[in-house]
This record gives sequence, structure tokens and C-alpha cells, in this order.
Amino acid sequence: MPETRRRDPGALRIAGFDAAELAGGLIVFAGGCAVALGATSYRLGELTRMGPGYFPMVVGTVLALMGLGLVLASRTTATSLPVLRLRPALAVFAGLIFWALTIERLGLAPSTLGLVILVSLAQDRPSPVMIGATAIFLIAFSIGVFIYALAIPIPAIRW
Amino acid sequence: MDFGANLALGFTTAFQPFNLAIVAFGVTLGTLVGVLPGVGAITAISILLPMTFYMDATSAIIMLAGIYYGAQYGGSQASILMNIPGTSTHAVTCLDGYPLSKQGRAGPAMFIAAISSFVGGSFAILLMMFLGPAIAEVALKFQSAEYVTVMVFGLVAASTLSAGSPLKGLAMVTFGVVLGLVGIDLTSGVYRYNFGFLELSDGLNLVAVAMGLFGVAEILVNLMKGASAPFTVQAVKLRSLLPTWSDIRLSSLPTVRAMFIGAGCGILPGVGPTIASFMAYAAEKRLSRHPERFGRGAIEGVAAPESANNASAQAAFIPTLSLGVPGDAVGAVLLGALMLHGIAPGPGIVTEQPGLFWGLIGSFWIGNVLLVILNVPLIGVWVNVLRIPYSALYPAMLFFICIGVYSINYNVFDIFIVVLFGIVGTVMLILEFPAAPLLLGFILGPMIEENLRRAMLVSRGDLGILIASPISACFVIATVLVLLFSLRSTVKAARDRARRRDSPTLSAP
Repeated sequence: MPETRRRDPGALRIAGFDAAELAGGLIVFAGGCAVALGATSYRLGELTRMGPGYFPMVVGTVLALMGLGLVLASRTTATSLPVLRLRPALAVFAGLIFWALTIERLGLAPSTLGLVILVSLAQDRPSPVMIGATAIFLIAFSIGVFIYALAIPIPAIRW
Repeated sequence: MDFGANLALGFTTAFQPFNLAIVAFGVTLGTLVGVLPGVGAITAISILLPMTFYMDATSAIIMLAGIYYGAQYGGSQASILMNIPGTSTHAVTCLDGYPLSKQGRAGPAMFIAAISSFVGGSFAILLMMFLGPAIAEVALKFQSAEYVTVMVFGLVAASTLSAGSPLKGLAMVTFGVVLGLVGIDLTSGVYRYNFGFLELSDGLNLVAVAMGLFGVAEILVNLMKGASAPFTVQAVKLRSLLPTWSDIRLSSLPTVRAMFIGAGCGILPGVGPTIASFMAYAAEKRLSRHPERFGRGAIEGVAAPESANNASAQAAFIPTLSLGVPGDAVGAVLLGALMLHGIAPGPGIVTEQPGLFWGLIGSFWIGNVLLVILNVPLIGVWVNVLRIPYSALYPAMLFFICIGVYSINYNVFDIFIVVLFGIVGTVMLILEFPAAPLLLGFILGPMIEENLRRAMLVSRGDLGILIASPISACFVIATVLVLLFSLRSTVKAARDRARRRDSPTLSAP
């Protein structure tokens, strides 16, 4: 996606560190520390007989070290961030969560309709005709394939 | 069993009516996702994985593999017709494919692409028939220490040799290993990192993780780019497909050279079809007596990368099946599929499941012939597929992701895992962390831990066991060499960047 990335490599630097790269490195470092910390709640054992905590401790430490490496490297590296738009992310995740919450309570047809409507809101100008056509096709297809052919234990509509 | 008997078994298995139907379905679907920009093979494979629970393991792997190599055929069409790679492995094909299309020669370009793909693919299948059993025979003597070193080498090579920052690749492989820790520790029975969720007892669901990381994140980034304008595509007539003699003459040698490059890349873990096609293109440009033709519609600029990426995609099955070390993310998902069917990855597959290994090879031959038919005479059908607007496509894909993940365990918990990894994957894409190594680490991590613990038990805690046998010593040395090589290139790249920043006159791209 080169056309949407900011071209100026010096645009986002904090005290000589590239902001995006620094953030990535810090996330990795924090994750590694959390894993190693979590490993202490399991028995470590010794090299001959490793307990459930031994390998996680090693892996967590390695991950934290890599995070540190990334932080140091962010002095010279540069990630040009794409233009971030929140709307598609919100629409897509809302659609997925809606489907998850309603599939067992309402059945396949209503939850799929809701999913299609919600995720279509990711576009700037969603077309109702397109939404309707996609939803009808998917519901018909899934009733045919998933309910009749594969017999999944979910009704088309739960009254 | 000798070679002939194995081959006969393979074709008998592959020609069973159900397997014939399933390979046809797989390669057709593969071509479809290959043709459609923004839909990857790994998403399609993950979506269809739950459906394979209704089949035996051989049919399952035949279908899923068909999607993978089918996508390598279909991906060239969008590259040639619209200058948009259908899958990331076809980016190079745009360079000369689109200029050819603008000259009105899209037909011959697509014809040559299909034939080169077939040649490259066939070469790699031949290689798999001879090399696969040989590697498996050596690997059968592997003990825990060898397994640890082979798998660590696979992970390191896969994460550092691919495009992008090697350190980021290594960090993601390690993150994948961390994700593999979740669930019951089989030796002690302790629940690790399950945050109190009983649903996590058997570990994170592979399909849910893959769909979030690849499927959802891919869709989201496409939407954030705002690319939903319908494509305008010209109709392609069968007559216009025929290449001239000079096209065939110009492409034949590059196709052959590229199949060697591609197969070599495919066997190495982590060096997948994308790198293979770039390398083959660069090699042809260097060898050509008229390098200036490249980028302006040189037919060999289409033939070479298409031959290379198909050879690479097929050859990637060699380490995946004969060592149990997946070459790329798709290989990891296929191994995951085998595990769900109760088949442990490793060299045992070749010897203990000859029906599966040779049946898959038989299906490769059938699938590749079908793909030539699908991609040459039926090309007009696929060109029409490009008219499907993305605004109808992505809601459908998200729906199939939901129902696919849900139907594995009939548990909505897995959908929330998809959402979680969709967020993780999007952040990773934005910060340019690669997702494929993560999946490799996730699959191989638990196997590394298990074998390491066993090796340490055998050697009474002596790490020297990891270099005690010649094979594992070789892999340790290879791992160190790969690490040193990537360290050198990282430092060199950092120095170049620092120099460019210091002299602003050179910084304009």
C-alpha cells in the first residue's frame, strides 16, 4: 500500500527513535516480560527435568530481549504508517461480535443479516441494494450448505 | 514397497471418484481466490478446514493443497489484466504482464503464464517424488535432539530469510511459540496461560488464530485503503490466447531456469513463492541480451516468475511432509489440518501413510492438468469473476470466516479469538510485523518444547546433546550462519539508512 503511506521518513520521530518502530519494540518487550513473569507462577524445575514453567521462562526472556533489540534498532529504522481510519475497523469488529452474540440465540438468518449490514457500514457510501443482495445470497447459500448438507446444529431462525 | 508400487498406489488413491471430485473442487476454488485480489489462499484454506472433518485425512489434504497451488495459477490473471497482483506472489508478474496487456497481448501472456506454471509445478512434483522419501528416510533416524535443532533451524530460517526486518521476523516467531504455550502442559497437567478460560485448555484454536491474523486483518487493511471501486476488465476471446512462435521461443529457457530457482526456494523453509518469483525475474533480466525489454512487455518476464512461484509452492510440500517442518504459513495450516485428523507431522507420514503421501502426489498431477484446462480454455470465466465488487466480497468472506470457525467446535468463544487476532494482525500489518512466522512458531513451538524436554531427560541436562550427532550439529551451525548473515545485512541496511538521513540530498526516493 505504498500510495497511502506517508513518504517523509522523518515525520514521526521521538528523540531520534522512529515512533512506530519504538512502539512495536516496546509492545514486544512488554509481552516478553509478561510471559516470563507468568512463568514464575508455574514450577520451573531444572534443565534435566523441566517443569511447566521452564520453557515459558526461556521463551519469554528471549521475546523480551528481541523487544529490546527492536527498541535499539528503532533509532535507525523507519516505518511509514498508513493513513489510519477507524470506521472500517469498528464496523468489521462490530459485525463479527454481533454474529458471535446472536448466532445461538437468534439463529443463522438474523445473525448473518446483521453481520452483513454492520460490516457494510465500513464503506463510506454503503449501497442498500448490494447489502440486500449479499445478505439474501449468503443466507440462502448457508441454509442449503450448512443446515441441510452439513447439518450444523443451528436453526435458520430461532423463534 | 518400491517406487512403482508407491506410484500406482498414489494414482489409485487420487483417481477414486471422491478424491477426483475433491481435487477438482480444490483447484477451482484455488484459482478463484487466486484471481480475486485481496483474497489469499490461506484464508480460503482456513475457511474450508472445518469442512474437511467430514472426510478422511487424505482427501482433506488433497483438497486444501489444491487451493494453495491453484491460487498460484489464478493469481497471474489480475496481474496481467489490471496491474493488481491477485496474490502477493504475483507482484512481479505485473511488471511485464500489464505492459503486454496494454499492447493488446493479454491473451498470449496468460497462455504463457499457465504453461510456465505447469512446467514449474511438474518439475517440483517430480522432485518431491524422488527427494521426499529420501529425506524422510534420513529423518526417521532423528531423535529428540535432531528434531529440536531441525525445527529451530526452520523457524530461524523462515523468519529471517523472508522479506522485511529479520529481527521482526524472529520476534514474531517467538511470539508464535508463546501462543503455542497456552493450554494444558501435557507432562505436568498444569494449565498454562489460560486466564481462567476452560475453552483454552486444548490451546488456542489454530484456525481461529489464522483467520484473525490473515483473513480479518487482510480485509481490514484493504478497507482502510478504501479500495472498493469496481474494476473495468476487457473480455478475452479464446482465439486471442494463442502465443506466437517467438513468444514460445523466448519463454522456454527462462521457464526452465526459473523452475530450478523456484524449487530450490520451495525446499528451504521460509523462502516461499514470492521471493522465488522475484529471484527468477531478476536472474532473467541479468541474463538477457536485451535487459531494456523488461518492464515494457517482455514475455519471459511473465514466464519466469510464473514458473518459479509454482515450482516453489509445490516444492514447499517436501519439507512440510517429509520433515514435518512447514515451509511457510500455508504449510503450517496444512500440518495443523493433519494434526486435527490425528496424523502427527514428521517423516512418519511418508512411510506410515503411503496412501496419503503418494495419493497427494497423484492428486498434484491431476490438479496441475486440471489447472491448465481451467486457466487456458476457460479463462473467460475467471476474467468475469474480476467484475465482482469488493463491497459484496468482503461481507461474504467475513461470514464464511464466522461460520467456518464456529463449526469447528460449535463454540462462539472461537469467534472472539478471531476478533482478538484480527486486532493483533491489523496492528502487526500497520507496524510492518510479518504474520507468517507467527503461525510457524505457533505450530512448531509445542513440538520443540516436547522434544527439548525429552532430549534433556535423556542427556541428564547436558545441552551438548544438541550438537552430539552430525545431523543436529549441522543444523546448529546452519542456524548460527543464518543468524550471522541476517545480522550482517541488518547492520548494513541500518548504516545505509543512517548515511542517507545524514545527507538529505540523497534522501528523495
